[in-house]
Amino acid sequence: MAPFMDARLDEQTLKQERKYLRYYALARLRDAELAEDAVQETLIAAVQNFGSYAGRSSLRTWLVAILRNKIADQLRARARANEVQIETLDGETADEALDALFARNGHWGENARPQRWGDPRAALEDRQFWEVMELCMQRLPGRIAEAFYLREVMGESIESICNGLEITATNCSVMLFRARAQLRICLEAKWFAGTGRG
Amino acid sequence: MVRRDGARLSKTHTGEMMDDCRKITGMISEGLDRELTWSERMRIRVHLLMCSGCSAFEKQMIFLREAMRTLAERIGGHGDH
Repeated sequence: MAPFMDARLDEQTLKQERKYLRYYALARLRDAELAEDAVQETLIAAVQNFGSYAGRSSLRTWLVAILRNKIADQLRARARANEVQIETLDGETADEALDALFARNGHWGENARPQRWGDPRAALEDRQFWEVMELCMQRLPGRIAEAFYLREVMGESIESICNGLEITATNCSVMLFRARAQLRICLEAKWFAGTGRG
Repeated sequence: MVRRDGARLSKTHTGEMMDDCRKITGMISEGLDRELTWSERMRIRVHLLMCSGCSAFEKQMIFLREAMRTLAERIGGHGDH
């Protein structure tokens, strides 16, 4: 018997997974309403197709696979609507984004040098800090946000992220570097600025 | 250019060979995703002795990892690095 065969889609499970999926969708779509739509559609599809869930993967992995399809639909729809082309070549431009942080000799550019943050762990207890964090994560470009999310929140390995996003390991590393560097800047500007200078 | 120990050094626009902040912070980031070699760790250590910006960066990366784990717990993710 498959290890996850006894997984159920009861209300409790749906509630719990919904929260998780929402963060995933938010990281990818950077729009609360669209993220909510994608998650709703995912859960509906999951309930309708639960019979086809073979239990070969964990329930969450199965749900995320559905969600990724829904997100891809959303992105295609958005591209068709001829809105801003959000699917830029994030991986390829990650290097360029990093160029902005460093001077040409590779040293910290003006105003880009990291400042001391004092005792940042105190922020983890602060509700407002988490709002800032969510905002900063939403500002990351879609694919970069997805890679970062898979790595840091879902705890996936570099290899599985590379395979899932169909990018090379080097590209993956650069994307994660960019995500971290950009988050760092956002958190410093919106939260830590001035707190650790004394 | 590849050194005898196999480590690659970046080439700056002036042509001199040295570990710059971009290279070092990139390595610090990679250290969150794979185990660094002894030589990489030494290069980071030496650089951090001289560079306050990269030292702050390293501390912040450790904090960021901790914050993400906390977030994972809050929303029921795996977060099991």
